[in-house]
Formats: sequence, C-alpha cells, structure tokens
Amino acid sequence: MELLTAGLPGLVERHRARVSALEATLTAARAAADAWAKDPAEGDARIEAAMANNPTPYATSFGEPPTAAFPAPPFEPCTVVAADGSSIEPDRFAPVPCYVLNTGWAVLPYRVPGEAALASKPILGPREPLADAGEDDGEDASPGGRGWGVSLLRDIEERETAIHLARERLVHGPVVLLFDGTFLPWDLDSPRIAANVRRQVLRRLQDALALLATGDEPLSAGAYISGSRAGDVVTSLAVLAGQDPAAWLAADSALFATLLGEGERSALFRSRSQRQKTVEEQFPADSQVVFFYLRTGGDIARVELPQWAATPARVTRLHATLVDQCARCDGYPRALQEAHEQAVISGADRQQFARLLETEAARQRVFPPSNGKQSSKRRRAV
Amino acid sequence: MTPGTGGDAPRVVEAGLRSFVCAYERYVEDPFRLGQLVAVREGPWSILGCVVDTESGPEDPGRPLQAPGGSLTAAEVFAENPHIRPLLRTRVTVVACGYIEGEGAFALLPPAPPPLLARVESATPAETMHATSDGAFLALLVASALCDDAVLAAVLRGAATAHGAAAGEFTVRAGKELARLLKAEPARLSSILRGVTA
Repeated sequence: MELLTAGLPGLVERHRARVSALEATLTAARAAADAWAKDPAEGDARIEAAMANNPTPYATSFGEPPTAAFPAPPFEPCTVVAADGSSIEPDRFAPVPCYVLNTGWAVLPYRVPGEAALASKPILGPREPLADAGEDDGEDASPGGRGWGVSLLRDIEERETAIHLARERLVHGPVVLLFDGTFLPWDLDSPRIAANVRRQVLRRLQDALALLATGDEPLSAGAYISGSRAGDVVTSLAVLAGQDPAAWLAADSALFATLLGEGERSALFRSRSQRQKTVEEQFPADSQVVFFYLRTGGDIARVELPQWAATPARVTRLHATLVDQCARCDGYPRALQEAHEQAVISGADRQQFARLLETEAARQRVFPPSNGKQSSKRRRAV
Repeated sequence: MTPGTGGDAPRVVEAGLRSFVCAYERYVEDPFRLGQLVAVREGPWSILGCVVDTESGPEDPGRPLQAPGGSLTAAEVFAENPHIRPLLRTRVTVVACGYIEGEGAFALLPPAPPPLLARVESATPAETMHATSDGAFLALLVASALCDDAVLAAVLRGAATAHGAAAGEFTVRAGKELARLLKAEPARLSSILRGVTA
C-alpha cells in the first residue's frame, strides 16, 4: 500500500491539470452552443451532414433553443411509479445452467388517492430450451452463455411491470413513470444475444410501449441516468466549432454543469446515431428518444423520454416530479431508489440460491462438471 | 373498533410453546394492546395468549428510520413520504396462557406451538371468560420472564371487562389466585394490585 500511496499526489495533480485545461474548451463549446441557439435549423443541418457514415452519437435540437435552461416547475400531486431489476447471471460452474430475474417496483402516491406499494417478483429461467437460435448468435449463444440475454430480459421485465402499474394508477390522477438507465435497451441489436431472444423481447417491448403511449392521459415517462457520461451534445458542438470530437469535451455533463442552475433542466435534444437508428427504427416514430439534462445537487442527470411524452405538459410534470423526488432522496429519485431496494439480490440470497440449486440437482442426481479451479477456490485450505 | 382488529390480522412469525411473535403486514398504529388476550384458532386447538410487548420499526435493520426535522405530525410525514409505511412492520410478542380444545379450557401450555403464519386475532369475550374465570391462567403468566407487573395488571383489567357485571367477583378470584402465586413476593403483589385498581 505504501507504494501506491506515494503515487497519489501526482495522480491527483495530473487530474487537476486536465480539468483546468478543459476551461478553454468549455468556453469554445459555449460559444458554439450560442451560435446553434441563434439558428437551430442551420446548426442541425451541419450536424446531420457530419453524421453521414459516422458511428459517433450526435444530438440535434428538438424545438427548444439548445442553450435554454428551464427552472423547476412547482410539483403537482401525482403517483410516481418506478421499476428496477436485478439478476443472477448463468454460472457455468453450476450443475444446471439457469438465471434469476428479480423485478422490484415502487408505486408512491403523493397527495392523490391509492395505496403505496413496494414489492418485487422473481422469475427463474429459462422456462423452455432455446430453439432456433438463429444465424448470428455466435459462440456466446450456447446455453449458459450471454446468448440468453439476461440483461435484456431484465430490462423488458422492468418496463412491462412499470407500464402496467402506471396505467392502473391513472384512475387516481396524473402518473409519472420512471426507469433507471436508457429508455430503450441497447442490447436490442446486440449480436451476442440469440436472435430469437431479441425477436421475442422486441415484440414484448413494442407491445409495452404501445400500451404506454395509448390515449392522452396525464402520463409522463422518463428514463433517468445519474452521472451520465454521454457526449451527444458536445460532439455536435465540436462539429459546429470545427473541432475534432476526439480532442474535445468527452461528456455533456461538463458543459451542462456550467449552463444549469440547481433544479434546472436543459433544452430537449434528439439523440442521433447509427446504432440508435437500428434500434429505434423498430418502433413507431413517436417512441423515438429525446432527452434533456437535469441538475440536482452535484449531479447532472440525463433524462430520456419517448417523443410522444415530450409535450410541454408532460415534460413539465416530469421535470417537477424529478426535482421533488431527488430532494426526497439525497439527489436521486426516491421511487427509483425504493424500486432498486426491492430488486436487489444480496450476496447472501445469491449464495442461498446456489445452494438450493445444488441441493435440488443432487436430489435428481445431476452434478456439475468437475472444475479444479472452482473447487480450489471453494476449499482455500493452506 | 377493538384494538388490533383494524385491517389484516397479524400472523405468527416465530413460534414457541411458551411464547410466540406475530407480525402485521405493515406498520399499524392500533396493534393489540398490552395485556390483551389473543387467540390462534388454526390447528387442533385454539391457543390463548397475553400480549406482553409490541414494537414497530423498519423491517430491514440495515435501513434505519430517519427522523425528519420540521413541524409536521407523524400522519403528515407519512402522507408526504408514502414509501415509509410499507417499509415498517409492527411485531407483537405473546405469552401463552392456555388453550381451548373442544369444550374444555385448559390453563396449561399448549401441546404444540401455534402454526407459523397462522392468523392471530383478539380473543372473544366468551373465550376470555372461559379461559380466565378461575384465575388459573395467571400461573403461566407469573412464571414467564416476559410478563412484568404492568402486563399482569393490564391483563387483569382487560379480563375483568370481559366478565361484565361479574367483573368484581372475577377480580376478587383472580386477586386471591395472584396472592397465592406470589405469597413469597408481597412487594410484587402490591405493585400488580395497584396497577389493577389504577
């Protein structure tokens, strides 16, 4: 440890120097943003031209001046619904390859009727063998590998659960629906996940989002990314400033930390990238993703929402509720925190599940393949 | 409403012959009262017990309840923070003081503990009269380390109420039984009797 301690002062000093060097870049980025705000259409056109055949994510404006900052509106009574998930991934040393999904949710009524609910639902999988794995599955599609798409299945379970809960609560008044992470699961186009899993999840997600978007009820929806490291906006600003994005600001949060005051949100932006396009094109146009940044405490969070939810009334409700939720929970939405607490699978729970699985497998005379390294780790005798 | 009967009944979560613990699904403000007689009616016999302790708090000890500042009442804090109530639980400790099997009431330990997750309900006035009329039920309570003077006084007050017009006769009988059980502990007997008449 003393060898490491000696290196810490230099490490911190180098970091400080890098942060100081960013000031000039931030000034240039703000100037580019001001120019973009004066003529958003012209700026968007230049950004779209730069996007051609470029895999880097960009952002274009979405009906609001890119440098705008909106103060937090007053919080209005509503029910906040959130879901989060946790999983036990397949263990290749287990006697039977399997996974566990645990979806937790929180339904919290604020000055509207209805009971608060905190609960979770575990699922043991796979329920049936994977058939017709598809051509692009690759080696990871083998049973017990990543081909099962456990994280993708967890994402869809979260969304289905929360969307149904949110719709149920509309009878009591406005509802704000929150997810953790991106609004659309990125793994939807991952070739590492078996094609039939992706097809199945895609169908379920299409159905869930269609259910979410029906009607003109007072329903707001947003996916909350705390401490976002996305760089779509600053990449666009690099284009507008004539700079190389690779030698520019790395994250939008550095810029918006200088533009947003406490509780303020940024303008809405449209996220644009080739990969995003491959995912979003599988959904109706009004489910495509827009986003804004929100400053709460020391955090610059990215909030993604579908286009249909980007109406002024819905965004105002979402913004006000997120600020209120963060004030209730040390800078992170209370409902998401409670959903996480319900979803989390503790280390003790994981060990207990492994023991239960081994016991049941042994009862049916199914034993794990012998593995010296694993056995040695368990024994740890001197 | 009789205390402890609001909403869902608590269920047995820890079961022993001499005592058991029951928990409400959530935090409740009107749990069974100190000294109240309760009954577990699931199983071959109904077990009667006396409430000796009640505690409420977070279900997860790793998430202690934070006391907010400000001037809000508890009801207002709960209304403003709807996540809190589902995370709290109320647990009640009960000492067995007899059981009813068929037509017979026995001031003895039950042959077996109550079933886990069985519902715990208030004893009816008829059950209370049946089980307490001769004062013999006090022997198990006096012998329990969980029953202090306040519990014994409270159970006698509550049982007397169930005896209605015969409350005075019941109290005299129970007082004599208590005097017999505590003849070596006059100070404790005085303390309990003061609690009964308070």
